[in-house]
Amino acid sequence: MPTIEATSHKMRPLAKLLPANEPRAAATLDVWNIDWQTVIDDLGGDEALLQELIDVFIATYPETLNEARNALARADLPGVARVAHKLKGTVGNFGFGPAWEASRTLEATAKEARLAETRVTFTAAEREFAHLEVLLLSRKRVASA
Amino acid sequence: MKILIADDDRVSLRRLEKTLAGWGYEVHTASDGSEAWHQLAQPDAPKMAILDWVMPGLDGVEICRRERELARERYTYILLLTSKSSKADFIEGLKSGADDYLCKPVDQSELELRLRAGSRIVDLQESLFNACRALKQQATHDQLTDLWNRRAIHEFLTQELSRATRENAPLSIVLADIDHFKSINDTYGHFVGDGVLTEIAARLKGELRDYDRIGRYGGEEFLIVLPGCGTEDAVRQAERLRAAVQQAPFLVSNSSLSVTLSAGVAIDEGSRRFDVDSLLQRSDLALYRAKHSGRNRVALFTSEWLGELPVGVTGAAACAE
Repeated sequence: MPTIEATSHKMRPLAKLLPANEPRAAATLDVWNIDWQTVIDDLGGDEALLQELIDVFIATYPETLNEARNALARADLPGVARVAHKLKGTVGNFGFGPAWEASRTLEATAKEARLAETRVTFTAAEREFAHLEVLLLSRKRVASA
Repeated sequence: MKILIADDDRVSLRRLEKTLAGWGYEVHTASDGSEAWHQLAQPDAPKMAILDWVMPGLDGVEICRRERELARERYTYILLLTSKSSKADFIEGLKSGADDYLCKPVDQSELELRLRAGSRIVDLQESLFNACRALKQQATHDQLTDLWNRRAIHEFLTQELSRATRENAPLSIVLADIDHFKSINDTYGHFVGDGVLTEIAARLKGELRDYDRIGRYGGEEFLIVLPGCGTEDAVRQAERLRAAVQQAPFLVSNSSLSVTLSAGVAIDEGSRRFDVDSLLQRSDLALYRAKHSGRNRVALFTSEWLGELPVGVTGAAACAE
C-alpha cells in the first residue's frame, strides 16, 4: 500500500522509468498524489462527473490491461503499443501522473519492438494502475463522506 | 447542433459526451471507428465530428480520408483527438482531411472555442449549400409549375435514351398539350391560365411513377419520359394522364372550368431506336394527329405518318389555334 501525500505532480518531476540501456521496473512514486484541483477544474468543477469517470475507469481498466497482457504473451508488440496508447488516453483524464508516464513508456518500448523491456514496463504499468486505483477510490470515499 | 464523438476509451468518451451536452450539443457517440463511419454515412448524420485517432476497426485518420474522398454534398467538420502530439502526427492528421486537431486530455475551454469556430464554418457551409441548391433548382425547374424545365427534361431524355439503348430496354415519351389553352387565357386572363397550368402539372405529376419524369416543354406543353415503358404501357399511361385532366373540373372564379389534354406517344424500343430529336419529332407528329382527330385524346406515332407535315412545321405549330 503506497503512502499517499498531497503532493502535486506539477510540483515534482516524474521519475524516469527507463534510463538508457538499463531496463528495470519503474520507481514507485509512493508520495505522488493526484492534483485534484486541476482535475476538477478541467471537468468544469463537475464532481459528479469525476465520480462517474472514476467508476467507469475502475470498471474498465482491468480488461484493457488484460488485453495488453495477452498481446504481450503472444509477443504482439504492435498490439501492446495500441492498448498502451489507449491506457495513456484514459489515465490522462486524471492528470499526467506515474500511471500516465508508465503507459507512455510501455507504448514506447512496445513500438520500438523491445520485447524484454516491454515486459518490464508492463509490470511497472500494472503497478502504477493499481496505485492509481487506490487514489481514485480514496477520492470517492472522501467525496461520499 | 448534432455532433458525433468516437473513442474506444470509455472514460474519455463519457467525459466528452457530458461536457458537450452541457454546452448544448446533441451528442451521438461511437465506441469504434466502424460505428463512427456508419453513423457519418446516414442522411441525417451530424455535421461535426470529434474522432479519436487510434481506434479499433477504422482509425480517425482513415475516416477523415474516406470522408474527404467521398466529397459528399454535405460537409462534415472533423476534429481529430489524440494522445499523439508530435509535429509529424499533427501534419499527418491535417493531411488526412481533418479540420482541426487537439491533444488528449482535452482542455475544456480550448475545446469549446475550437468547436465554436468549427460551428461557424459548418453554418457558413450550410448557407452556401442552401444557396447552391436554390440556384440549381432555379436553373432546372419551371418557376410556375415547379416541374423540370425544357433544358432539364431534354437532358434527362438524352441520358435515358442512351441508357435504354445500352440496356436494350424500351423507353417512351408523351408530348401533351392543353386543348384550347389560348381561349382560357383570353377569356379568364393569364392569372387563371397560370392557375390551370399549375393544377394540371400537379395532376400529371401525381399519375407518374417515381422514376418517370415530367417537364414543362413549352407554354402549355408537357414532355413526359417513361423509362422501361413499351407501346402498351406507354399508351395506357398517356391515357391515364389525359383522364386525370378531364375527370374533374378546375374551379376558377367561382365557376367550374372543364379542361382537356391531347397527347402524342412515341416509342423507342427493339430495332426502332432513335436519337432525341427524331423521337421528339415523332411524339410531336402524334400530338398533331391527336389534335386533328378531335382533341382530348391520345395518339400513338406510326411510321406511315412521316412526311405528313410540311418541312419546318412542327405538330404543335400545325395545331395551334
